[in-house]
Amino acid sequence: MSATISDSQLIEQALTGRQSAYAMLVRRYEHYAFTLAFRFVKNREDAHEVAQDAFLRAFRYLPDFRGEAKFSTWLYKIVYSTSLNFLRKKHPDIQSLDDADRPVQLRDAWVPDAAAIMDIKDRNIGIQQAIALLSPDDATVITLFYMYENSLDEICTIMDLTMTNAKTKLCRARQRLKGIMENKFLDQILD
Amino acid sequence: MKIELDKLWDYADGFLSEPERQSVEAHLQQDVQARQMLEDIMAEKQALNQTPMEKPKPMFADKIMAAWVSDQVARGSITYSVPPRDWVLTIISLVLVLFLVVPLVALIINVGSFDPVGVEIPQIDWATMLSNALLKYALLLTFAFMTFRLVDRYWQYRKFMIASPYLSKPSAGHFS
Repeated sequence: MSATISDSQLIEQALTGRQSAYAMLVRRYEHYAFTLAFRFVKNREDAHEVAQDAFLRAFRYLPDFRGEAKFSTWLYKIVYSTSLNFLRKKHPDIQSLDDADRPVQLRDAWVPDAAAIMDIKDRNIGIQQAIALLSPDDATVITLFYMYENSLDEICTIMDLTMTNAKTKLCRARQRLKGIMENKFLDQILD
Repeated sequence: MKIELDKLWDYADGFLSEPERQSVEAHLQQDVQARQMLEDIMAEKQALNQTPMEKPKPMFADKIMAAWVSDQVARGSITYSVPPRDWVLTIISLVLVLFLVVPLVALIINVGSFDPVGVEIPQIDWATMLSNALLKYALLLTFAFMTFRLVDRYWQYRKFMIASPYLSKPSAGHFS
C-alpha cells in the first residue's frame, strides 16, 4: 500500500488528522532527513535531535505546504534550516558554514579517481569518511545533488542560494571532496 | 587542446548548454585521456549516488511519532478524553474501592468508640466477615479487578502514546 500512495495523498490524509499518514511520511523520509542532518551537524546524537525537530516543524506547518515544490524539497529545506539553527545555537561564535576560505588543493597531475579504484565496500566507507571531513555546507550540497539527486533549482530552494552560488558551491565541494579522497585515501590504495 | 576537468564534470552533471555539450562531445571523440577522465567522473558520480545513507537509531520513527502525538495533545489538536465505557468501569471501581476502604477505615480508627456526630455506624467484625467464604472471595476478586484496571489503564495509555500513528482516526484520542 505504501508504495502506491504518493506524498501529496499522504499529506491530504495527514491534514484530515490521520496519524498513520504522518507515520508513513516519517518512515519514508527518516533516513533522508537523518542523513542530511548528520552530514551537517557531524554527530549522531545531534542529528537525531535535529531530524526529529525538523519533522515536528514540518508537521506543524503542513497546512501551509502549498505543493509548489516537492514535499521532499520542502522537508529538506526545514532539515537544513533546523541544522543551521542548531549549529548556530551550539556554536554562537561560528562565522561560516562553508569552506570559502579554505583553498581547494588538488594534485598537479591528473591521477586516476580514488573512488574508481577502491572496491565497493572500501569505496563507500571512503566516501562517507571524506564527506564527514567536508564543511557542513559542502557536505549538504554533495548529499543533495549526488545522493538524493536533487536538481540545482531544488538545491537553491533548500539552501536559499542563487543558481550561480549553488553551482559554484557544488563545484568547490566536489573539488574538495576529490582533494580529500586523493590526499587521504589514494596513497593508501596505491601503497 | 586539453579539456578542463570542471568542464567534464559540468558535462556529466548536465549543466552545459546545447552548443557547449556538442563541443565537449566532439572533443571526447578525439581525446582518449578525456574519455578516461569522463569515465572516472561517471564512476565517482555513481559511487556518490550509491553511498549508503546513515541509519538512525531503531524505533526512531516511533519516537518521532510519539513526540508528534504529544505535541498535538499539548496544543489541544487531539483530545485526550475517556470514553463512556471507561466511565462506567471507573464508577464500578470506585464503588468497589469504597466497599473495601470504608470498613478498613472504620476498623483502623475504631469508630465504635469515636462518635462525634452521634451517627451510629455498625461495628465490623472482621473475623466473622472473613470467615464467610463468599465475602472472602468477593474481596479477592475485587483486588484482582482493581489490579487489572490499573494495568489496563497504563497499557492503554502506553498504546495511545506509542502506537497512535497507526490509528486511523486519531481525533477520537481514546484509550480504547
